[in-house]
Amino acid sequence: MNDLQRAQAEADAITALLVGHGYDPADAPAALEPQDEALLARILAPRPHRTVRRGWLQVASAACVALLALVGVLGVQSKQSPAVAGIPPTLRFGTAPLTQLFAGTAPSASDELRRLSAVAAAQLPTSAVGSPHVESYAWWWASSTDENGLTVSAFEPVFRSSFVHADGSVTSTEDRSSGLDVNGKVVDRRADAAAGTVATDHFPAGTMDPRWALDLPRHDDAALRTALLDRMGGEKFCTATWPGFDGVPYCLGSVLQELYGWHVVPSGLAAALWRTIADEGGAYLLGPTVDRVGRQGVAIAIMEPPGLEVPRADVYVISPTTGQLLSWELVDEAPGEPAGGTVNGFEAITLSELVRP
Amino acid sequence: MVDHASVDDIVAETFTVVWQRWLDVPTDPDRRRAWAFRVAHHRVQHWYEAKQREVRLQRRLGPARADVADHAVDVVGEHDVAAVLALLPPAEREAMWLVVSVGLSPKDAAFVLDCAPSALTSRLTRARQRLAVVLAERVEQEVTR
Repeated sequence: MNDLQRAQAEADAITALLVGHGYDPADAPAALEPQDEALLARILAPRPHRTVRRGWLQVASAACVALLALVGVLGVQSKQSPAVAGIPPTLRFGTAPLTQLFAGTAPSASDELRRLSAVAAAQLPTSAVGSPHVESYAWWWASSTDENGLTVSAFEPVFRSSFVHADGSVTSTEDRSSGLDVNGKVVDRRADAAAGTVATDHFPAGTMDPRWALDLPRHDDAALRTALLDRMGGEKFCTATWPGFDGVPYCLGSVLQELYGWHVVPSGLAAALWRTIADEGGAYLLGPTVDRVGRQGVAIAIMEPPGLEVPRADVYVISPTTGQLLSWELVDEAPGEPAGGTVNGFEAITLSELVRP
Repeated sequence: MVDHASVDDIVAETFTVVWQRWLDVPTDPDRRRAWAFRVAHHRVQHWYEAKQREVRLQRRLGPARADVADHAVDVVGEHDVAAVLALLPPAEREAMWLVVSVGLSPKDAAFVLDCAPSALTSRLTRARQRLAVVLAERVEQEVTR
């Protein structure tokens, strides 16, 4: 008996099993409505050199509807599945390794953040006119279900380009991006033929405020802190949600990802951000590093709230020459790994500009 | 599970492809049917990729936008074979549906799923084993009621 015969035997056994329990395994496709049938005939009529088999169309159309509506195929497995990648290597840090961070012995980042704040404050102001356009490389952690019903996860390298338009509508375009080299650095996507299909999402007017970052307070750190925490549900949410854990630094860090992921952050605001986080405490210095796209940076880390399977830290890489955030990574504690942690995802901002409509 | 609102779109996209590539469609009716199912299979994959992307974006957009509810419960009835199928893992469910309910030959079903006949067989075997357990439990529940 070959594989096809064995498959048919299994199918027959399943049929017998279902019938034995009172189920009708056949799903008789419903007949098409007359207007649908007429529409199909019209679509196919201009091709006279082929015979339109209306009966086949009826059966196939109805069966497709039935297949999609009743069965669904979550996580279908095939060779067409999206390209995925393995775990990226961790970055190397000049001051404190991840083992020290997760052991709670990494030094405070407050002094370094104040120095970076001064660097940002010393930058020349740029134009504040236009709508934000941000491009980034990111590796997203994606989960799906395999053929045994088990959850399987993998990284999806993505290149993203977003526009927040003047009316608050949002356009976000993603495509499959290039991979990493052996050092964990992004391969230039222009040299990578594996870049995938572009997919674009549009969100309607009013989805985001294009001036949000431009209008945040830059000279009143207390007001800025309040505005940032309000974005995360308010100070009470950040302090009371996790008993025994001060969630304010984490909340401030999370807003950074939204700010830099969608908006152009003026240098004056960057300076105020680093001052605010430095005054808050709860940020740890990992030190000099090189981010995924080869830029020199200074890494700081903020611990995420407890409750995950393993402790997780959000690592932020800041430019020592401009004081702007370059990229961020999510790192899980992994005592068995030489680096002491594994990367759970990252995003590197490669372009941030205001464009005129 | 594909939501109800997207089913019409996927079917429409599937038959648009069939129409556009009519000259490439196999002339044999059975192969032609399998060909149409394979197009639908790929459309559904694209739908899931788009859905994953949408979920990521929704998370990044924050609380301003709410997730759309899953309409699976509206689609799957309680007392038909679909309710039983819904209990199977997706790959087994699809393999079983194509061969047992739709009536494709194993060869055509393997073509639709883009897998080897041996992989199809193993999915069907696992589906049968799982169904046997599920159906036995249902009988037991009805007896104890």
